[in-house]
This record gives sequence, structure tokens and C-alpha cells, in this order.
Amino acid sequence: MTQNETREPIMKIRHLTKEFKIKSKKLGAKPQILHALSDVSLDVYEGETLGIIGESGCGKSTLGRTIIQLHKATSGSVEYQGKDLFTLAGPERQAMKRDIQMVFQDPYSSLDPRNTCETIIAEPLKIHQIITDKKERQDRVLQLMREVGLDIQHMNRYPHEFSGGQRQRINVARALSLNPKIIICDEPVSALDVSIQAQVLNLFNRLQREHNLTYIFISHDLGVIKHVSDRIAIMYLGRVVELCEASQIYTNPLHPYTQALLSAIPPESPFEKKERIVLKGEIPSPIGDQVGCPLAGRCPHCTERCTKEIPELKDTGDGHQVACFLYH
Amino acid sequence: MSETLLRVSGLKTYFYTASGVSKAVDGVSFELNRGEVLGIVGESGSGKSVTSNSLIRLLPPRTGRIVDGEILFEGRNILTMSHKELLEFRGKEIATIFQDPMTSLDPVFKIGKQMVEMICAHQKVSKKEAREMAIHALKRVGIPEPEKRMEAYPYELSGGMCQRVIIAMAVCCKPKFIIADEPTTALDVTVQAQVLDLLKDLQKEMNTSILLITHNLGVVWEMCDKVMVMYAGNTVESADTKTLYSNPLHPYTWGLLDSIPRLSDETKGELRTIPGTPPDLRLTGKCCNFYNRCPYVTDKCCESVPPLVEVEPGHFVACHRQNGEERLVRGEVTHDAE
Repeated sequence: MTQNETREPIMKIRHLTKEFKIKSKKLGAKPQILHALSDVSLDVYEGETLGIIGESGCGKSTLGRTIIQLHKATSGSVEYQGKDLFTLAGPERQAMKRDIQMVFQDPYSSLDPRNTCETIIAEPLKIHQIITDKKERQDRVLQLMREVGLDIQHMNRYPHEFSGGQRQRINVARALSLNPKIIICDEPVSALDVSIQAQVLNLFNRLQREHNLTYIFISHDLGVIKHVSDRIAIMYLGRVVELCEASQIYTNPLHPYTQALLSAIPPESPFEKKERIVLKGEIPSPIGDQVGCPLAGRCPHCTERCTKEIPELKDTGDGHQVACFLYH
Repeated sequence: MSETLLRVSGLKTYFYTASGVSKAVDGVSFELNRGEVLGIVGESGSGKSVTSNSLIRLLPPRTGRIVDGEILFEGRNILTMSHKELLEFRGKEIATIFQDPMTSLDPVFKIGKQMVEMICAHQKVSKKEAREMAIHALKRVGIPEPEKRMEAYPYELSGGMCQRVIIAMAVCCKPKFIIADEPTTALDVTVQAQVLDLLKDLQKEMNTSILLITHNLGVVWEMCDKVMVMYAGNTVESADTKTLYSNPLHPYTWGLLDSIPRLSDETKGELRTIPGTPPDLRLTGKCCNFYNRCPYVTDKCCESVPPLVEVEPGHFVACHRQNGEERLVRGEVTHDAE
């Protein structure tokens, strides 16, 4: 963290909120509001990996999609290199789109089945008119493919001819083609088998070292997140509840939700016996207004204050941020 | 306790497709005692689910066929049962919990109706009694307000709740054996933990045997007494859980154990990987299936299929280099990155 204090963040996410309107079935009734993201503020530093973890429905994918404006944010701002992304237009907006790329979860549906590997990787180069010469473009595609561990023989194949791991490599090559600064990875390995997952994770780590990339890495697997991240943000019901260095999450989890999440992970050996912290009930619905801490109904340390106020994300002193009244 | 409940020997299930014969399961043998939990681990396409579906002969007609082997359940051969016997048998003696909780329930019928139908099919009870049994089972798996939930449609319940309903259906008829095919893969970790605890409790209470299929080794360490590692339709190693963890012998098992990122590891380290991809199942069966990805490969590996040999009591391994006197040492050859 001492290093980070001197560094200027490459991306500042401030009070980002995303609400989805759900139309009521009854005629004339007011639409209900689903709070997918509530007041998310994060800093992303150059060259780091910010891991985002949470259970399904906690808003982690919405966060990634809102940053690159696949969803329009309800309020809040995302600043990239000092410029507000949501107000950019024209060539500046194009430049921003080049700098922030995304790798999606499902390697089967994120590639057009009717295009060859070469066409898929060359498409961003064509759209942004980086390389207009066809022959040069082909060379660049080949160079990218080699970088992610594919070869010349794969160039004219269609997505269905590749395995899941190889497809994810094509996705990575496509994201890399525009020399981005930030890559948002939305569960890039969760559809892959463990042996293939390890190959792709190593690829991500190597590319980051070679190109000084910044990753926002979204996953639900704590082992994977811990492996790739420098800092980890834990999300619950659209809010960041804890933010800390990757090494700290295991040794010193503070938020009751993080503690429960860690205790729910199956053991790493048959000799390990885990003490399990069970959260009562299920994740509450994100529809409707929120009053109090999102974990209030399930938390073993819940007090009266928790049911009335929403705790803010605050620093506990050493850069470890937590949104829980137990620590403020 | 150590009475054998299920014995599978030399099971071969092939799929006859337009592009050739796919050897999905190619000679799998294992035994399961009463009250034991056996885990099958392996990557997708290694034949885990086909093995378990073969046990209840739930294979696609025409294309899928059990070509060889024997499945003895309490001494009865499942493979020679008539269709009628089989209907009686499935659900009552062997219950199955499938991977996706949302699709294993019929979306157009209420939970209660589906459960009552299942109970009436297997036990001679009236509808009213069946209903009471269903409510009792729902209560047992920790569903709040079971009477109300009986009137709910599957879409009204969350994934974890649906999986509980399916587990309730599975245990209703007090089966001797439960096949759980990736029961928690579709669920979040906190819900997974709840479902696994529930399965463990029920298993202890009723002394049921469980065949747990998973690709998550953590789940195996938590749940299973014995574990079998499958690769490309073959058993490559099987042992009791603690032995497999502390003394794995097959190079594939090493690769599998090494490639999982652990919470206790340093961040940003290089993960050990298994190079390459699994083989085409239409081409296997002539040599060791792992030869092209194995760092310890010899000429012998490319010539014949290694038999499954008991190297220590209860510890089986199928590897040419691990049968003999000079055993390999784990980590002797480092895998190449990527």
C-alpha cells in the first residue's frame, strides 16, 4: 500500500451506481428498482490487478460492464487518466475504448461462430484503423496469436474447432490487439477445467509482466482471485464491503461476510478441519430500497445500528478498508 | 460396515456416433461399501458422468451402449435387469442428484405434486401419506415453511433451495445408494457449503453410500472416504482420500493437484500446469492415454495400455512407471509453463 500512496490511480471509480427498472406486471403501477450497484468507489493503479469477488447477483459483472459502458450508469463517475469516461465523445471516446478492453466469461458465446480466428482478432484493428494494410494486419495477428500460445496453423480455423482454453486465448489475443492499458476480465477462467485454467492464469500473469497491463479481474473463485490479484475487493449486494491487499484476505479478514465466505471454501487437504461460520438464510433481494447494512439480517454480530444505517467503506489504518460498524 | 454394496468391474460404455466410436468409459472398476462416500474426480470429458449414468443405465438410446463389464448392486446385476425392474429400481434403491438444480425439476408442476408423484411411484402409500412424507423430507433438508413451499413452482425458489428439494426427493424413499453428479457446481460457495453439510448429515443418519462426482478437489477432501481419479475414460488412480492427498502416484494426479491455485500460496506465482489438452476419445485405447502430456513418458507408454495395479493395499494406479521397483518421485521433472 505504501507504494500505492505515491502512485496516481489510472482509474478512479467514484460513487458508481447502477439501477435497473423492473416493469410491474400491473398496469399503471410504478416500476420497481433493482439496485445492482450502490455507491461503489474504487481506485485502480497502473500495473496492478484488482480482484473483485462475490457471489452471483452481487453486482460484480455489472461493475465491469458499467465501466466500459455496456450498461449506462445511473449516477457516479469513472475517471480514466483524469478524464470522465461517461462524458467523452468523438476521438477521445475512441481512444478510451482502445485503452480499456474486456475478456468475457464464456469462451463459447463470445466469439462469432461464422468468423475465423484471424478475422476475429483482426476486427478491432480494422475498426479502429490501426493497420490498414492487409498483409501487415495479418503479420500483427500472427504475432498476437504467438503471444497467447496459438500458432499459424490455427489462423484459418473457426471457433468450434478450438477447445475452451484455446478460445479463451483467442479472446485474450483480441483484447490485446489494440495495446490496451486496462483489461477487464469477467470470470475468464470459470468455464475452464482446472488444468486448462492454470494455463490461462499463467498466460494472464505473463502478459501483465510483459505489457505492464492493469487488470480488473472478476471471479467468484477465491483461490483464483488470490492467485492473480494485488488487491481484492469483496462485494455483497451491490456494495464493496471490504478492500485489502491480497495477502491480507486470508490472514486477516475483517468483514463478517468475508469471514463467512472464507470459511465456506472447501478445505485444501483431507487433514484440514474447518470451523464454519454459517450465515443464516439467503442473500436478500436487491429490489426495493435498502435500509441498513446489506448483511444485517444474516450477520452474527448484527446490532441495532446495523439495521438503520448503511456502513461506509473506511480505512482501518493500514490501507485495509472495511464497511462494517464493528471497526469504526 | 465393510459390506460391499456396489461392485463395478471392467465397465465399458461407448458412444456410436457418425464420426466413429467414442470410448467415453473404457474399463472402469471400483467397489463401494455400505456407508461409504466415493468421489470421482476428473476434467470434463473424462467419463465421470457417463460412469454414473451407466450405473442406472441412463444412456441415450441407440448411440450410447454398455459394451462390456458388470455392475453388481447387492449381488444383482443391473445390466441384465428388465425395463420394468429397472423402473422399480431407480429412485428407490439408487437415487440421483443431478448437476443443475433448475433443470432437474419440471417447471410446469408444483414442487409438492412432483414429490408426491415420485413417492407414490415407489411406495404403496396414499396420496395423503405421500404428502406428509414429502413435507417431512422438506423439513429435514432445512426448507422453511415446507407446507407453503409444496405449493411453489421451481422458478420461485433459488438454486440452493431447488437443490435442497431435489435432495429431499432423493432421500424420501430411503435409498441405499445416492449418486450425486456435481451436486454443487451450479451453486455459490456459501450455498455449496450448506448443501454439502446437509448431504453429510443425511449420509451419516441413514448410513447411505454416496457416489460423489465432482471436479472440485476441495469438495472431495471434505466429503469422501475414497477417491478415484479418471482420465479419458480410464481410472488412473484410486485410493482412500488421505493416501491420495499425501502420496499420489500417477503423474496426472500430480498435475491435477498442482494446477489448483491455493489460498495459502504466494500471489502471482507461476502455477504448475499440465501441458496440452485431453485426447480425442475416439482414438484412445491403444496406449497410455496420458502419454502426450506426461513429462515422464517412455517408449513403453506409447506401446501398451498400463493396467490398474494395486501398489499398496487399497491404492491402485495405472502407470507403467509406477508399477515396478523404481518409482518416480513427484516433482522430479518440472512441467513447462503453459
